[in-house]
Amino acid sequence: MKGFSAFFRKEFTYQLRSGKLFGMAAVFILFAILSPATAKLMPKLLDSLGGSGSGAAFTVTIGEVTAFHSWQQFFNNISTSLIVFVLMQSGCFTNEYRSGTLVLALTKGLSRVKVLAAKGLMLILLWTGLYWVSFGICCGYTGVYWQSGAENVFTAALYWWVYGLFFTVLTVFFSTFLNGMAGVLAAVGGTLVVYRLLSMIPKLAPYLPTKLSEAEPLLLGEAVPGDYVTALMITAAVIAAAAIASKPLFDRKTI
Amino acid sequence: MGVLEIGGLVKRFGTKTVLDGVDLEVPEHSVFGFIGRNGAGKTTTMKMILGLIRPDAGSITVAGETVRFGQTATNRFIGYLPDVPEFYGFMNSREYLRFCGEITGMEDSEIRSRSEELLTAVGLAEEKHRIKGWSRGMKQRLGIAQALLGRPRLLICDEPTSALDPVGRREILEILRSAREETTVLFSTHILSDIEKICTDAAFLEGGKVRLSGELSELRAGLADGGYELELPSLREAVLISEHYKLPAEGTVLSFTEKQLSLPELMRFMADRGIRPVKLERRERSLDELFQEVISK
Repeated sequence: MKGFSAFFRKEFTYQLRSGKLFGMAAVFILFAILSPATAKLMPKLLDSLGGSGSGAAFTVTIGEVTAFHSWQQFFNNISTSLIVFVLMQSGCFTNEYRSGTLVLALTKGLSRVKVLAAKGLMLILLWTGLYWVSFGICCGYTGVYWQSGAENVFTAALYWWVYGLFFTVLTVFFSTFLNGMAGVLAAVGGTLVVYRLLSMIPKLAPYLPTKLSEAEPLLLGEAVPGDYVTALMITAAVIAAAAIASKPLFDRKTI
Repeated sequence: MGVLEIGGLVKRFGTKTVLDGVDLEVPEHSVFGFIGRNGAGKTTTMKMILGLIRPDAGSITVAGETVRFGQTATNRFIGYLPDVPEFYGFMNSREYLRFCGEITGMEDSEIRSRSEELLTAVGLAEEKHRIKGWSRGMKQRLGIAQALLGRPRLLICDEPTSALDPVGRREILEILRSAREETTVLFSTHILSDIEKICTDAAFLEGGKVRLSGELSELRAGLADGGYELELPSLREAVLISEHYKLPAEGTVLSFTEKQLSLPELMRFMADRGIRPVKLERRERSLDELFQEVISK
């Protein structure tokens, strides 16, 4: 247990001292603030563009802005935050393979499963922490400006968190057997592309992890949380399978 | 029984057979030089001892326990210094040694005292900066400190001196020599003078096999007769002996082996003619000659 906690602390110190934690926090917080701000300012912006007298090139009609628009922005922006997160963490294992720093830890008798668990847990906690802080900020600002207009906000947020968790675990999974950061990014990106393509098939779409990222129907009340349960179960199963498969793959990795 | 025993170790990378049945026994409290050309398979062998590379055949035991690939239990007996040790640059030396001590399950107080002791021994006690930006020599010294931290029974060093300048090299060799008091040192190198300076035992790896191994003194004496060197006061006497016994001469110096000429016979010859030699010396075979012999076999 001491080995695990020492390695876990090492991971945290790295996130802190390399500036990655601050970098990611800045992105997550910025987008969290931008979401309600964009919703609030959008009508004025559009007004200033389109409403400047009779000579205007186009006119924009926009309905009343509600909490829905703020959350709509949030769930659009959070995907960018997730991309930044995966980009920053894709070297979590591979940088250590390249530099050889892991060799010394392993040759001291630290078991590989502890390395895997410490790194995996660090990434999961980072994603969870950053995501819910981001959500909390957006929640606060949105609550100040709008009292209504969005339904199932927390459920939509929970589903999206699982969606992000899916990519976090995939990042770990691919890192256990691929050598370079580029390979990990390509594999995670490739998985996303495959799921996006599959989700174009209407019969398949409700069962795919990508379904969890579709917050709008929930926010509008067009869908109920129960509609997502199958996708949630399947995603959870894929997460579990990837996590379990990571161990033997990492054990076999030549380091 | 040796602290490290290797039997019939085979490793192939694709069609290339790097190790073709390596046998090796490293006795406890020796400084064991593992000699071989670049690419001979020294690093591969060491990484297999550490369970980092899977052997195709053969067995390795450390302190009586079998090494298993991917599992690192036997590494608790081992301290390892890679050829170019890499550390977490965001830590300083004390933080790094603390990290090492914690992952090996050492007590806090022991980590603290042992860290100070080792940092002083390797000359890094005053260094407070983070490791990022350190020179190679400094990293090598920290590498030795981390390797010795857990008082390992076997210290494995992969070419510990090859990247260093002469001063750094001498310092590292000195540290390794003194480490012998508490552990067994196995180090690989292609620099033969390093072996001559500090090793008690050595093994030559060539063509995927250990061609020769044992105590250094035996190796030098045993393989073949090193011969003698006779220096005479003048060329006249040198020519006299060389022509009489058909020996090659270089100026006033003659070289011969006991097969060519027995020593008592030579003594008699010189005594009869009143020749007083300047020097008669048994020639020690250098490791370099030994190495040449091994690789030309």
